[in-house]
Amino acid sequence: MLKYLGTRLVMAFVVIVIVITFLALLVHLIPGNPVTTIMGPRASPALAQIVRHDMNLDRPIPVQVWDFITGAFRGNLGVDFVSNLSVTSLIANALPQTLALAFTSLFIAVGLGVPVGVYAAKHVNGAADRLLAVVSVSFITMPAFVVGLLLLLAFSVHIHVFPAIGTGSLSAPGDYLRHLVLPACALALTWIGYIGRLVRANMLEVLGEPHIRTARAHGVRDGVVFYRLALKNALIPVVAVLGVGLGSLIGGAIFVEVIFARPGIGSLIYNAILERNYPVVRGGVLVVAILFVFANLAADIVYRFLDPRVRVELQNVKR
Amino acid sequence: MSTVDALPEAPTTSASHPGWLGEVVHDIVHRPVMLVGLGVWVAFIIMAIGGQHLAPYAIDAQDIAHRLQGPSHAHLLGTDELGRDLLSRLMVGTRYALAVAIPAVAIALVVGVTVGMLAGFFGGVVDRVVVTLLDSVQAFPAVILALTLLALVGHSLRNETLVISVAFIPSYARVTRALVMAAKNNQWVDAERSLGARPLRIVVVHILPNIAASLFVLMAMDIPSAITISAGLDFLGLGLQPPTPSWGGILSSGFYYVEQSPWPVIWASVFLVIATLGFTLLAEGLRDVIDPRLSR
Repeated sequence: MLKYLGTRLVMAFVVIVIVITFLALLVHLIPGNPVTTIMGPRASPALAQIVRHDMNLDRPIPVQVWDFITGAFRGNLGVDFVSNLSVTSLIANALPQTLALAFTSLFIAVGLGVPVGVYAAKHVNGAADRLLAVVSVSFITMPAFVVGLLLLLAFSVHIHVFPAIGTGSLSAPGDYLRHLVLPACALALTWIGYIGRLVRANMLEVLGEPHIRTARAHGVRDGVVFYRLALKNALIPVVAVLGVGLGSLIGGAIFVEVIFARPGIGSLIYNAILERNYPVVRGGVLVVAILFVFANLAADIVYRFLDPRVRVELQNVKR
Repeated sequence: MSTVDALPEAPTTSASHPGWLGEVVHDIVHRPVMLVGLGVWVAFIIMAIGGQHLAPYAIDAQDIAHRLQGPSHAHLLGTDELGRDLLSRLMVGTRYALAVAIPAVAIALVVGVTVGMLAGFFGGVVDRVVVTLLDSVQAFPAVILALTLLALVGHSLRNETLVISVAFIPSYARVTRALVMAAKNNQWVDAERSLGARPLRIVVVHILPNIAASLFVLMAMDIPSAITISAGLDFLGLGLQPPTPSWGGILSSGFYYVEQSPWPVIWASVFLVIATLGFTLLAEGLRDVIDPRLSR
C-alpha cells in the first residue's frame, strides 16, 4: 500500500510538472508570433512591448519555462495585465466560490443519487426502475449550461423564487444559500443520474454475491441484508467516481458561473479569455488542472483503502 | 471521462464471432429504446444533409416586425431577436453540430488508436511515456482544455473540431491499449509470431479487427459528448460565430434576450437534449449488445 501510495504521488507530481511546462510553452507551441497569439493581431506595438516584457517573452524559451515552473512552485503565477494584481491573489479570491459551488453540487448529487439508486435496485425491473433508468440517462446527457438556462428561466425569470445573478454575501448565510441553489442544481443534475445508475448497478452486483446468499440462508433479515451488507459495499465505487466528479464539476462550473454571473475560477478564466489576459488564463487553468489531479488521486487512494480486493489485485497484477 | 485501463482480461469480446452484426440488427428491432435512438439519428442526419431545403424559411430571412415571438402558424417555434425563424435555424444548425462532433471523434479515434496500439503492443518505456502523456492531457477538464486551446488558435469550424478531438484522444488510447494488451496474451498471437509475422502485421491484421467493434461503441458514445462540448464552446462565444445558426450560438443570443422571450432558449435546449439523449440511448444499446465491458 505504501509503495503504491508513493508511486501514485510521484506520478501525480510528474503529471503536474508536465502540465506546468505545457502551459509555459503553450504560446510557443501555437504557430505564429507569441505576442500576436496572446493579444490578437490588432494589438498596438507599445502594448505588445509591455506584454513581451511582462511575460518574459523577450528571453530565451528555456529560461521562460524554468522561470514559470519555479515561480509556480513558489506560488507566483505572474501578474494580471489589466489590474496589475498578482494572478495568485485573483485565484485565491475566486477559488472558494467555485469550491463552495462544487461541493454543494456534490452534496446534492450524492443526497439524491444514492436513494434513487437504492430504490431502483430494490424494485429491480419494476415500472419505477424502468422509469428511473430513462430519467437517469436523461439527467446524464443534459449539459450543465442547458439545465442552468432552463432553471434560470423557470425560477428567476418566470417566477421570481431564486436570484438570477451573483453570490450574495456570506454575512447573510440564508441569502448566500439562496444564490447557491440554482447553480448547484444545474451542476448536480448529471451526477444525480450518474450516481443513481452506479449505485443501482453496484447494489445488484453485491446482492448477487455468495456472502449475501449465505447471510440470507442464515436467516438475516432482508432489511439488514439490504442496507447494512449490500449498501455499504455498493457505496465504495461511488467514492472513486466522486474524485472524477469533483474535478469535472470544477470544469463545468465555468458555464454555470457565466450564466449566473458568479465570481469563481470558471468566470475568472472565461473573462480573462475574452480580454486576452493570458497570465490569468494560464494561472487559472493550472490551478484547475492541479485540483483535478489531486481530486482523482485522493479518490483513488481512498477507494483502494476501502476495498481490500483492489489492494490484493494490485499486488498480483503488475502494471 | 472515466479511465478504463484496467479492463478485465476476458476472452476477446462477443464481437469477435461472425454474427455480431446480425445480433445488433436483431436487438435494435426488439429494443424500443434503441429504436428510438436510431430514429433520432436518422431524423438528425436528414436535417443535417437537407436542412436548408426542408426548412420553411431561409436561415437569414428577417421579419423584424415579428421579432422574439412565441410559436405561431407562420413560425412554428417562434422567432429570434432579429425576427428569424427559429425552426429553420435550428434545423440547419444540426449540420454544424454533426460537422464538428463526428470529425472530432473520428480524428480522436485515429490518433488515439494509433497511440494506444503502440503503447499496448510494445509496452515498457513506450508504454510508460504514453500513459504519462495521456494522464497529463486528462489533467485538464475537457471543456477547459478545449476552451483554452481554442482561444489561442482562433475560432473556425476546423479549429473547433481539432480542439475537441484533443480532449477525446486519451480515452481511445487507453481503451485500445487495454484491449491490445489483453489480446496480445492470446495463444493465436504467439502462434502468429512463431510463424514469423512482424509486430505491425499482428496488430493491424489480427488485433485491430478484434477490437474494432468495441471502438465503434466508444465512438457512438462520444459523439453526443462532443456535440455537448461544441455547443458549450459556441454558447460561450468562443466557437462558431454569429450569424452561423449553431445550437450553442442560438442558446447564447437567446440567453441575452431571455427576459423578453424564453423561446429561443427553450427550443435550442430541446434540440440539443433530444439529439444527445437519442444518440446516447442508441450508443448504450449498442454497447450492451456488442461489448458490455465498456460500460462506465
